[in-house]
Amino acid sequence: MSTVAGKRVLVLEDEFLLAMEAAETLEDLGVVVVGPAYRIDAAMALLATEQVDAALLDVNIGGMPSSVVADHLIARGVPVVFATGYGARADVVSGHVILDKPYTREQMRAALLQVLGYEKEPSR
Amino acid sequence: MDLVMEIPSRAETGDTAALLRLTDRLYRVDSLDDVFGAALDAITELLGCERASILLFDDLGVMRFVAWRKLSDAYRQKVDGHTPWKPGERDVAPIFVSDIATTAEPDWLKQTLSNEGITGLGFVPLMAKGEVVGKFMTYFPEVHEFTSHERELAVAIARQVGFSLERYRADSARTATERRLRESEDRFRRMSEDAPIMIWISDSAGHCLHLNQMLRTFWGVTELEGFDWASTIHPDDQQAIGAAMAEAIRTRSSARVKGRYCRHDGVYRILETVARPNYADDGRFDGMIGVNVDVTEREEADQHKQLLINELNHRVKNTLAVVQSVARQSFKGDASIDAKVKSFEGRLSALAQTHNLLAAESWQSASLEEVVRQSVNGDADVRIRIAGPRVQLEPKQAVTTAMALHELYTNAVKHGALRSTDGTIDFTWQTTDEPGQWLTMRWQETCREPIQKPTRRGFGSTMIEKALGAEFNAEVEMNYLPEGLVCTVVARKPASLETR
Repeated sequence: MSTVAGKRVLVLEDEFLLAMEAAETLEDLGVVVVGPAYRIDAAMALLATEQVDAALLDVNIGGMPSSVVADHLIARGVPVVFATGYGARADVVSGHVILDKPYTREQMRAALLQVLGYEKEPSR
Repeated sequence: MDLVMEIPSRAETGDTAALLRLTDRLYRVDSLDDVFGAALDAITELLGCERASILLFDDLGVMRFVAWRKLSDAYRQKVDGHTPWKPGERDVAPIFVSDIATTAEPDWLKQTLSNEGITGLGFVPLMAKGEVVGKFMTYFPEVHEFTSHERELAVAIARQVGFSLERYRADSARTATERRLRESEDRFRRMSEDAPIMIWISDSAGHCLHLNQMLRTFWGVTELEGFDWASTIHPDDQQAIGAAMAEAIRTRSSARVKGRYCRHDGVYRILETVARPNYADDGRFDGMIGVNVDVTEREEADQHKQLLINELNHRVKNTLAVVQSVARQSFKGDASIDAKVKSFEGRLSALAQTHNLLAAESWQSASLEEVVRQSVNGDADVRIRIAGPRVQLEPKQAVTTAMALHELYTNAVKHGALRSTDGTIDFTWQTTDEPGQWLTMRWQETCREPIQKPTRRGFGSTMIEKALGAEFNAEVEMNYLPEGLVCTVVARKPASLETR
């Protein structure tokens, strides 16, 4: 039984297929998906009304950094998984987890468990 | 010879006075003409002749008239260059001729002298530092027997004039040296002032002693008094630059620092500074001397380039992620090919990770070792031992190597040495100067359980044998030994490296 079941996770991803994949994977894990949001303003609007336990953010949304969303979440103590094509050197806030694109479902699950404070599971 | 001690006849007392006058005049001369004038006065007065001349060796070693009394131009032209001595000759004695007609001199010379109305004459060498530099001549219209007193006087005059010439030459040499030095200093000052680079000199406490024009303009300072260069550094860079410069001064060593400095108009510019210790002639540490180059544009271009590369990498990998998603969605619900989709994902991931390595090196190259470590997940140094010299792979080579190693690795996990916990793999490589064996890579599996040679050739063997072979122009050998697979790749040197 997944320990992430029932958690509310915001998904921000501007690539439709990737957003859909992420949402499906999260739902398979029993996660309640908030979104997915395809734009930064949409994500901010969701956060104004929805409570979230964690977030999966693409660092680059339509050419803009998603840092405004990340800052908002981090300021409220919400853990963030950054999905990025920039690799492990991506310029994100330290202490948060980077998910290097393309990622597998297992890698996403492991990253989520990690930010939610559970033991890191083998990702392979 | 000390003339003051000579026999004090009345005439000789007068001679002594005349010699002293010569000494006095020579002491106060301003120019060579003054030297010659004083000498000719003394010669005519002391030797009682009307005509006299002074000749010096020129730069080519030819004896030339430099001053004379009552000699015709024609005469001087005729005998110019005539000398009984060579330049630099030592230990020469004056020559006194009472009647030229009685000598063995050539007829043309006798004739020339006769035409000028000269019968008796004396050649008296002028010496400087012990060497002949010229002569003075004294001429008489009649036969003239030179008395020993006259000879001594002639030698005394020559000695005085010689000393004076020596001193004058030393003075002018020194003056010329000083002038050259001054010109050189001027040249360097102008060079420093007008150089299209910022130049500064500081004392040993780090205070500015000199700023060239470009640097004064940059900071907008005219007066160095009270100017604190460190206050122009961007607050975030102050600590690093201050520490580096203080360390350079303390250890008397060179420093290279880069940071943002506030220009006179309030705009921060990135200056790169190269400074080295400055020593006085006596070896005392005088401070630092340095140059600053405005590298703002270069830095911005570098940053922009890195930004573009990051952006490219992001897009490429986003696309790979989309491809992965398309595959997943396409085969969703078909449990029979789940494993195939997984292995496809792994291959895509290997490809994507190599892009990270290449992006980190601006798509120039990637280190073989890093490619290997990334391809074997967390197994490097645990179950897989990695050893080899530093080799940089070209981008395409890196991608192909990563893909092939991914196949070898997953194959080992599924069918080979990594299937059981006690299996190990050695991945080693060597390089040689031999173009045909530039790089030899060896993947050697060791396990207890015997392995089986695969019966089917799939994508994995294509990547390993064909792709790797083509990319490296290599011989690839797959050897399924009982104790495990040994894969050897012997690569030729790429053409792009042939000339290096």
